[in-house]
Amino acid sequence: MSSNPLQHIRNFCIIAHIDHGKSTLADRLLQASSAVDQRKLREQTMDSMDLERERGITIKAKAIALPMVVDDKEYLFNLIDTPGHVDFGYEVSRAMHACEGALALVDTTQGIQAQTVANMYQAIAADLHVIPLANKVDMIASRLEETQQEMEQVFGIKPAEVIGCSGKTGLGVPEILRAIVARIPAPTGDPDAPLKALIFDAVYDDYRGVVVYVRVRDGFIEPRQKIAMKATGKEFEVLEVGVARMGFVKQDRLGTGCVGYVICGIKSIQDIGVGDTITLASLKDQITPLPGYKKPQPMVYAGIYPTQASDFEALRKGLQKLSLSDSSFTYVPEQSGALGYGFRCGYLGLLHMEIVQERLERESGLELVMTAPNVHYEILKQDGTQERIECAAHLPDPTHYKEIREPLVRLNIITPTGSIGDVMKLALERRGLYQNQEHLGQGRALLTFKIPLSEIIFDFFDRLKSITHGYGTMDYEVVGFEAADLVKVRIMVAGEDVDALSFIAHRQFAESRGRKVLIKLREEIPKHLFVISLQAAIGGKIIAGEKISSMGKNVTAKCYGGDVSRKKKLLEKQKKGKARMKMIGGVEVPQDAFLAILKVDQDGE
Amino acid sequence: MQPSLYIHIPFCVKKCGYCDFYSGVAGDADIDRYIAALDRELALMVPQGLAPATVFIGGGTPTRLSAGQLQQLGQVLGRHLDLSAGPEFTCEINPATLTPAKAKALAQMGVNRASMGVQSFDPHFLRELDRAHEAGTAEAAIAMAREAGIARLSVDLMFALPGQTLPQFEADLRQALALGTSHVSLYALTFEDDTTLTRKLQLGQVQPCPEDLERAMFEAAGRICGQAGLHRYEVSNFAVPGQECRHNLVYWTLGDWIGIGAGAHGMLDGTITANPKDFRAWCEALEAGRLAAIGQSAMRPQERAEALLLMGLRLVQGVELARFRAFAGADFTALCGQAAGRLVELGLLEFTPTHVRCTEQGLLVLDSVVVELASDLEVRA
Repeated sequence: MSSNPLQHIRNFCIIAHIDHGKSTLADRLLQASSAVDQRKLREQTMDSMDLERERGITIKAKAIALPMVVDDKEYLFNLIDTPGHVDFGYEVSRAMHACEGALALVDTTQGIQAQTVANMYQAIAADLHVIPLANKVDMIASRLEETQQEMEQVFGIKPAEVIGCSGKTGLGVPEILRAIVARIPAPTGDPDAPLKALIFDAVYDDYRGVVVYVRVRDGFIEPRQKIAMKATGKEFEVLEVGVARMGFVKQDRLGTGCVGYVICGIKSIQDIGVGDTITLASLKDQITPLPGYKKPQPMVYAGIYPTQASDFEALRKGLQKLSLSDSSFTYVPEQSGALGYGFRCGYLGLLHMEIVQERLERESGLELVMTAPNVHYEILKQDGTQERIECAAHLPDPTHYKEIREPLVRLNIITPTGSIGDVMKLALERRGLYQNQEHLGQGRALLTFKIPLSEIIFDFFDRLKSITHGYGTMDYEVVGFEAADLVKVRIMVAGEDVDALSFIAHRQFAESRGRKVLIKLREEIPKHLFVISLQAAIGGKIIAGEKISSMGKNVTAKCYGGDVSRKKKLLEKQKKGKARMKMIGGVEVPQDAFLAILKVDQDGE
Repeated sequence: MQPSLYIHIPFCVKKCGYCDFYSGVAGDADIDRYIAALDRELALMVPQGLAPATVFIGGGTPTRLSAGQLQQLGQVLGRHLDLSAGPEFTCEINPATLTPAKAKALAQMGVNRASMGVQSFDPHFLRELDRAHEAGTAEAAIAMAREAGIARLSVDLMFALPGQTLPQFEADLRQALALGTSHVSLYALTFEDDTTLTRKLQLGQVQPCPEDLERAMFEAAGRICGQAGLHRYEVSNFAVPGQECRHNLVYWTLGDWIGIGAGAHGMLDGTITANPKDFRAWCEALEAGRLAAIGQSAMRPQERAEALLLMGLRLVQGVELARFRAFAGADFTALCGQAAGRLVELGLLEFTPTHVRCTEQGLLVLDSVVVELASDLEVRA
């Protein structure tokens, strides 16, 4: 609403750990909005949920505009959604840059969690004014005082600043509304300057194309404007602007300080970048972009191959379609000696990888082989140049490089104090470097480590959950690359190098990990009519060997009488099973075997 | 040669926990109706006065029928068939249901070979298998059959039973051989879908026999039968030379046979016939004057090759190469020579001047051998 003077606008987000009550609180704010008829709210909310169920897609506003009356004055609140998972850290930071403030919601029955810590640090880095909220104070298990103490200890927030509330009952909502007005500053910007708008999110919609969410910094944006994206250089004509309220509400223009959506006929989400700046096409070379734009940088890589070589084109189409709606996922064709033609895909993190792989399998209906994920490495070559390695198979012979560097993360873990020893042991086993420990009260502690990313992408979180009896939480951010004594471990099946199974490991752990991968493979590969040898090697040196003995017995000693069709059915079943496997050196390898390295339990290393 | 004849009797006293053949419990009125329908199906399916190469009555439990019903069945067969040449005529017998009168009725019908469903002599395993007879019953039934003049005897035993040890299995087998049988069928317990036993397995109440033990039993069977003068001629079957079951040999070589009765299968020149596994639907069709067959499928050349290997390689003598050429329409080596070559190298398959057959090792992993050969067929097709 461009008619709103700037001083009546408040742009903010809610940061919270999963299940700490973010969406319930958002619903309460929606209800408090003066523009929303309560009955209509319920109906419309339900309508949109039915639609989601029917169409099987998620229609979710990334920013919602809420006209609000506080102490008899009219305001426009823009509530901006942030993705909840650490994989999407960059997206979170961009969403925060569209805000002036944040509501930091902590569940008082659980206290501060690792994700709260990570999000708070990001909010502070984005210069946001934070309003701390202590949620679920109506519950018996609520420990308000201890939560306040934790907030003071970890973030330096004074207990008096914390507002107790309950999303469930609505307790504290009026105080929150007042605090938003009083503590979060109104946006600033120059309405007369040329257009500068921050893209903080984008959603692909089958009917409208890409819906871009923006925060207008300077100037205004309106239909029929010719606009340009600073980073990609692409130009578009604005078709529609508006805000999301209960559904999309068209506006004449989005003015300075406003948050809303822009539709301009963009067909693929690859054509825009979250964090990029929108300017007028005519001025695109004069305008300096808003700071902080980064091209999304995948952190985790994994191969995707069709089981049937003939499905390669179908797979390419599936990936192409996915990339229309997911800008942070990358794919490039690659060839594996063992698996044939496929793609190496880059993901923001493990969760992102799982989401993408699941969607791909569901939407394409293809039989796929996924390889175990790995991080990327930097090698410093003899000639002083650097090269990026995204796949263990591509790591050259050690004589070709001076050093190899791996990504390191700062890892925050919140754990019950009783499990500190086990958490320490786990982190140290994974080459973690202890950095800091803070007691949070309520028998909990915040531990900080510097640890190679590669060490936490496999089963680290599962292990953490298990040793902390479900109470441990973690969060990480990449802090840089460091050189390490890393080697490539090759895996051979029946004497044939299976490049898709090779992996990079620290020299100290290479042998034991290689051996465990072989043991896992021995379980995954079914017995054959012949003995199968499994070997792990560093360079030409074999470091571990295993054998799969030949099949002892496989004959139906049963009388099916004259029922030939029944026996034929059994044969068809066995033939089908065989067709689903990948043939390597005459050995049928099931899809799951390629994830063997993931399943290696690293106990006792 | 004339086709063989298979007659299915889908009735049992009670359903055994491991069994997934088409069978059920029925009353006498149902059985009378069934015999009348058999009469009609024979009239429609069998050329009048056919002299079948072999006859086999299986089930279910054929001896679930009363002596009177067996006599009736005998009269029905006599109306349609010419059994004067005395072809091999087998009837499956559940020892617990046999009486001297039934044995006599069978002999009168022309039955000259009794296939005794003993399964085990061990009371513990009989209970486990839900078999409705006690130890000692088998011996009595065999005596009745002999008394009635049924000359040839075969004993069915099961092995790889949950909890069964190698000595327990060997004891069962020795006891069967001690009865003077000239033919033994040894079937490994298979966990079939939708059986009580499989549900027990899923609930963890029974443990399947370990692969190594099953292999040891399979090998012991060959040794012990051999000592008694019975040689293995098929994966699961052993006989004194000349006493092989000719009827089953028709199946394994994909000869011709007519299948009569609800749930029965037949094969005529590579075309499979199948009757519905629903005795009421089957009866109703015949009572309305038409055949109830639900499926008639002529096999494509690739399927013919596959089926012949699937059945024929179960025989120790293997598949006759000339028969393969005639039945499948192409040379064996032309169709699956590559896979066969690999299998020969692995010592699992071998050629004689006239046959291709599994080695002793190959027979143990026959199902995989056939998959290898069949996959090769697929690639070429």
